Amino acid sequence: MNRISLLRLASALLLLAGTVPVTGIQSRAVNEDGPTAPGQGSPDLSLVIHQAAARIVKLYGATIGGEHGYGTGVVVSADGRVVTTLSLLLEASNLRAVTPDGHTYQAEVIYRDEYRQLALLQMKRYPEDVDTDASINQQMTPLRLDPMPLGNSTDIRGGEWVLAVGNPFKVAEGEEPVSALKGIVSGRTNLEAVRGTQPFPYRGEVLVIDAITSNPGSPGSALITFDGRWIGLIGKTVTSKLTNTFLNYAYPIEEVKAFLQDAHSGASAATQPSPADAPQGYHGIRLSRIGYRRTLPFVERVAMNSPAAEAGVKPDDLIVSANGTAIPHARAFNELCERLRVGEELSLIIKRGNELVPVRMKLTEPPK
Amino acid sequence: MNLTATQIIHRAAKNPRSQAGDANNMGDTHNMKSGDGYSSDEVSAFALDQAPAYALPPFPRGGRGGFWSAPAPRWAATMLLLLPLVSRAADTFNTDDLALVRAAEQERIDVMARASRSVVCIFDENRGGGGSGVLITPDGYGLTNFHVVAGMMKTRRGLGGLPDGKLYPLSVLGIDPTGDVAMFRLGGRERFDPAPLGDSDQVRVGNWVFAMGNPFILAEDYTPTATHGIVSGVHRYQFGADNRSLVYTDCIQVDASINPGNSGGPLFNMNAEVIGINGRGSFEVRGRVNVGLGYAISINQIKRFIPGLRAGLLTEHGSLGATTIDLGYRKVVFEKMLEPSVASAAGIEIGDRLLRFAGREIHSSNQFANILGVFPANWPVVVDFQHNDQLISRIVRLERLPVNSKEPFEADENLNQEEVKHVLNATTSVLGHIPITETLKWSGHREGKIRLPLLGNLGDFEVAETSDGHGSYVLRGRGAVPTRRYEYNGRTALMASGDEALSSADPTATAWANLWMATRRAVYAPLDDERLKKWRHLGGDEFDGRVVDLLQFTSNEGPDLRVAVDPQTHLPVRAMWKPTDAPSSERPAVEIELYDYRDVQGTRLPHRIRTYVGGEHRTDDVISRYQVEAP
Repeated sequence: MNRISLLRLASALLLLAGTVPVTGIQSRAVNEDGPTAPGQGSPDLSLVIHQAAARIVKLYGATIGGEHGYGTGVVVSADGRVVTTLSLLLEASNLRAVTPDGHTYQAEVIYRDEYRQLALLQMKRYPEDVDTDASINQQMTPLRLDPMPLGNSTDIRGGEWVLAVGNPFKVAEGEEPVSALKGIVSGRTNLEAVRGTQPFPYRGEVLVIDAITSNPGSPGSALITFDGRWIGLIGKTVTSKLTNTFLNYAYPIEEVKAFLQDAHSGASAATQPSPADAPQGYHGIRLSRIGYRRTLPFVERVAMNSPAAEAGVKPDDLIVSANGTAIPHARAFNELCERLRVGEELSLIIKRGNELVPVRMKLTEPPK
Repeated sequence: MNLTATQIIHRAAKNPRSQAGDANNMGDTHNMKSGDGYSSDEVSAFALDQAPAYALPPFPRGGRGGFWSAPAPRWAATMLLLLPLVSRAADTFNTDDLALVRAAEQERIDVMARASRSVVCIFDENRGGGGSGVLITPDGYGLTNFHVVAGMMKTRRGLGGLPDGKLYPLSVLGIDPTGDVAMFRLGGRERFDPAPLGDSDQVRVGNWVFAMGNPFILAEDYTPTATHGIVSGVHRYQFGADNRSLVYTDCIQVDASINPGNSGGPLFNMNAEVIGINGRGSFEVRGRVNVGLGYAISINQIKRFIPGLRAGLLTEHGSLGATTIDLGYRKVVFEKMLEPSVASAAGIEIGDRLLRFAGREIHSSNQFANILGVFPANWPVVVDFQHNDQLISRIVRLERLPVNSKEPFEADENLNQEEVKHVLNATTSVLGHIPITETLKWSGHREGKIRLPLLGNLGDFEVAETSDGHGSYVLRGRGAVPTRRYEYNGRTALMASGDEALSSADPTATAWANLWMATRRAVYAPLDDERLKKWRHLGGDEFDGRVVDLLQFTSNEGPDLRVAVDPQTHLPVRAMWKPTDAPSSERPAVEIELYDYRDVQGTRLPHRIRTYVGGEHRTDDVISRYQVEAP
């Protein structure tokens, strides 16, 4: 393959494509919002950014290791559900979300997706900070937010102007509006990335962008088009396996939709605990029993035709986490599984060789 | 971008999932081919290698002739021609749009070309260091960051490169270490191309902007690098080393690349007006390279410091002498207070709630600190606060937040005198067409007899004394008192007299008349060397929403007189007695503001005079008629 000509072609293609949508937007801006701001025919983005920023929350949580303790989330329901990236930040006992009007709410994780590395949060109904100026009635009005309408990204090919709206470096605080960075979509590709030395579990499609979003606080930002359509969610900071450079990318909104659907069933299952009389779910994994009290959770054997076998779990795999909880020793895994009932899902992160492998299975009735 | 492009192509080749999507890209590819003259070999290589991934049937490799050679089926050529049209139909891509794009691009090119003439590459005397700056006056005054010139403070000399490829001598004038701003002046040329200053209060998130400067010292010929982006945030706060050095308050956040070497350079709006000075980025995680968050000091903050910076002063930021704490949602309360401080003088007590500061509603202590940081010491600011159930509004003059610097800064007195001349020579020139020898006399137009010469020999108040030792004039108009008559007793005071219900002891009347007389006496006199020494430039002041120059006149005859002069009209707009020699109860600070200047027989005189005594608004006098008589 003639790589140089490919590069030239591809970049020229991006450049050309990059100019095309501008005209579309530009004429829209002129038509709908009157004359453009002093921007030499460029679209006026103020309104679009303002509307997006009004649907973003600032997150504050745990500062662990390389985690900076702050992040961004997008409001997806009026009663305070927020989608963001899965990170140690969320493991704080005091996870808080600050709404665009400056109120602070406690929040908790109601659904984790280890594969996509996304999480769904639920904010509390009433803020932590009391508005003493407001009437009692106002103070007792439960949280009501403007959710960000889910757009679609199927027509996004590359070259489209986009904005990443979120709170990198926690530049904004309280009621200050979050930041907006512009860029273009460079293209769509499947992600092959690492975080530190670990492979990044998500290997699906992403939108690669040229706005710099591999910044602390950026993950969980909304990616919108210049006319305000929500087309993606900025992912965690990862480096490309090929180039070993930071990658600026977003999950296509379709992936977020799929996550929300999973979360809808998963979260409702979690909030409605299975009846205790349902039989305990079966996975077919037996852990190694050699060692001390705190045996490392190595897989010793996997029962044939069991859910674990079908999901591809293999002997000598080391279980790192289960359903979003870190598994430090075999007992922790067994305790967790004792609570799972038939039909519930078990999602594992497994260390196999030097790779982290995510697997998912649905627990069944134990074999006779 | 190239890396990304490679990846996309890799994926496209490997991944059948992107079939549908990439068919359109294929269309673009051929579009490129016809438009931009890529050789058919390149295109064919692309097409052939990728062929399995696309919906299009593979073309035969066809040897040297590329894919145009036979036996390409005829329908393939038809598809090639059609594809560009089909694939872009949804994007309203037509010649009108293309013309718009080109026009917009040409406009951007023109704007950047215009702006670049004012951009300076700053080096120290040995051509070391490296930063950026921007010229703001034709006579070579320019702005940069303090941290760009900090290394030059010993000699206060440096070099400035302009896009004409030449280096010009640069001298450092005033500095603002707290706000990271410094002023310099370029020499060696009669006239420079200054950039106009914009209004950064009008800057909105989403506005298109561009930064100019010399990042990484790229330009050997001193032509600036332009980086284009949008405003990502306004009213941003970036901590300094402490609260007195290099603090960026209420600043503008941009996604245009700001890199080392951009420091001190201008942030332009798309009208090529300077809306900020770029000086920082979020460098704390990835090191000193752009990560999409750059910060510019807003030009409206800098405008308040420019008079002091021009005069070569070490400018200081302001403080209320009180700190606040957040108590609940949007509730900000005074927590600690210095005694004495401007806060306590304004009647603020600990526990009072801060409602507004400088006209902006205060919702958090951070926001208060953010807004406070844009004001120089001594700046007049309106503070609205709640004391018990009482809402109080006060104009306070901020106290100094002393600069935290290791090395003392010696202000250059010559610069200061230069600046006084700049302000006052122009003022006296307003009267230039009146012969100095001519005695200008004012008379009460009713009597027409008693004369009050104000300008006399222009240097001495005593000349106001007429032969009979009295002068008077009449003011007619609206105001607290409709008509007033003032008499001049020949010494220092004007007092009200006559049959109106004004007692001669009316302190306001006496005060303003005195002050107006003294101001005219001081400001309109010719500025010889001896007089010049009595003046000192103090920096900026705010008058009627504008930034004006504040001067101080020291005389033996009375307390120091402070006069604010409008730099546009060169007319005095405010005067203050600064009470120094008596308890304030006996001698309250008096301030007059002079509005509505109109031409009266060749001289500009105010027709509305507002008086404050002890910070309290007392009167508004509207003057309906002046009568100026030649002797």
